[in-house]
Amino acid sequence: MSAANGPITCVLMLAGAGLYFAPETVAIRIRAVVADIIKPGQVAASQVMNLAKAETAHMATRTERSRLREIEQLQTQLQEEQARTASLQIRLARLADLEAREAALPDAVRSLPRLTSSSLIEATVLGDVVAEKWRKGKLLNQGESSGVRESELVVKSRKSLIDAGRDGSISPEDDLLLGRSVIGKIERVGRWTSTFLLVSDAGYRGRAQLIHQTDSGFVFGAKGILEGQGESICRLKGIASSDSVSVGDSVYTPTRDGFPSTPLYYGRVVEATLGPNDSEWYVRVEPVPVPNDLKDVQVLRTSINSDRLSPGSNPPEPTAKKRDSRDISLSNYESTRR
Amino acid sequence: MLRNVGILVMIYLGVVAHSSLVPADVMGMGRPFVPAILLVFIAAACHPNLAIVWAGFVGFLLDGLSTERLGIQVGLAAMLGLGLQLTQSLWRSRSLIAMVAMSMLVCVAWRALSPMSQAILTGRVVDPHSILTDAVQDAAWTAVVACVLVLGLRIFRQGPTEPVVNRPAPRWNTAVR
Repeated sequence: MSAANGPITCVLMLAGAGLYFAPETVAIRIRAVVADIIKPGQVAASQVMNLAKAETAHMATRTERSRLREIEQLQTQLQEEQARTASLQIRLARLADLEAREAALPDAVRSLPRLTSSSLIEATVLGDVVAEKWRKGKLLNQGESSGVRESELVVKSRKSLIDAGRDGSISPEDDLLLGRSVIGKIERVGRWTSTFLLVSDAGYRGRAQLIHQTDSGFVFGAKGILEGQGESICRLKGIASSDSVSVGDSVYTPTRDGFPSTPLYYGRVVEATLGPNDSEWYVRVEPVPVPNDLKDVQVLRTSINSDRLSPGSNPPEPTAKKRDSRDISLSNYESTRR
Repeated sequence: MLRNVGILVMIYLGVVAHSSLVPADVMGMGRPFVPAILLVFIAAACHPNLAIVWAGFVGFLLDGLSTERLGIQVGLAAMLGLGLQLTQSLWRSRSLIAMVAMSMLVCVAWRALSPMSQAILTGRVVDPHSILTDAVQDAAWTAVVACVLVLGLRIFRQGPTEPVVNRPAPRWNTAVR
């Protein structure tokens, strides 16, 4: 410690005493001087604080926006996953059913190849102009004598055409698919072209089955006949009053007796009413919407398995490899392009 | 010279922060008293005589900003500056604990003596208990701020402010060797 500390402190205390007893005018002047000295710093500090507050608020807003965006993305992802889960649950239920049925069969029967096989034929819907030329023979007018004339039934029909016929082994009543949904069926088959009916067209009839979604999974419901009404909504007939139907149920091709064994989607129930004296439900179904510019479609063709028809074919040994139930997957169907 | 300019800037920023940035009441339990930290930093940083003068300058600025009569803060700051110099052998190590503890002590003394001096000089009646309670609460907040400042300075300087001391090896260790 320095020896001058004491005197310096005394001087400062005396200065303090002088200030204490200073006249009011001097005190006011001193306060004004000090305030003038400190004022710029206070203003700058205030501005810095305001900037910091504004930046903090901005960051909070930005964080909130990013959170909302993240929530929306997660919701979208959740919906996609739910749809995927629903699809997988249907397939799983079907696989479990198949597995149970196959397990109950004797080995010799279980190892038989299937009697029928399904395949998808890709086809293109002919546009109005091309279809008209085709019908008038402008595209192929060599005459019946040369054996290259299209079927009269097809030519005279005013229905829409696809560019697949008997040359693609297509038969009437074959389902017309768009993706994994049934949008119609083949009506008349010509040599190279065929006419088709959409599900909503009057005259369309097809077997269908209700599938009801519950908390524990999907329940295969009653079967009926889906009929086109010539309007956007179809009608599902043959659902007995003892069966359960509710709006929102899905309508698929039948799971038990149809080909392929994987159900294909028709649409969903939009109205289901049952009068007090009705013996069956009045069910209206909204089919899968068909785009106006429908172009590429697929025809589901079912044919006899040639392995079962060959003369020398015998039932395989019981130890033969068990048929893999996964082959029912639609993606495993033979897809051919004529 | 450069050090004195630095101390002047530090005093200015400290007084500005005390008068405009520090809230009047933090969670209903006092507020940091920045001038106490200023006095400790000044005492640790510069020559003892100058430290007391700078302490008096801090008191003068506080007097100018207060609404009470002038001179009291100058006297108190000078006394506390002298006290810091008298006790500097105890805390001059600049360790975190020493700096924080001295800041707390200076805060308690300043915050307690200031209203009591006013009361003695003006003849007002004050409650010593409440004054002491307020002073302790302010000292707690002051300790927090001092701790943050000392740690911040250490990080800024990329090293410990505490001087390295070569300690002799323990006797038992020597015996083993």
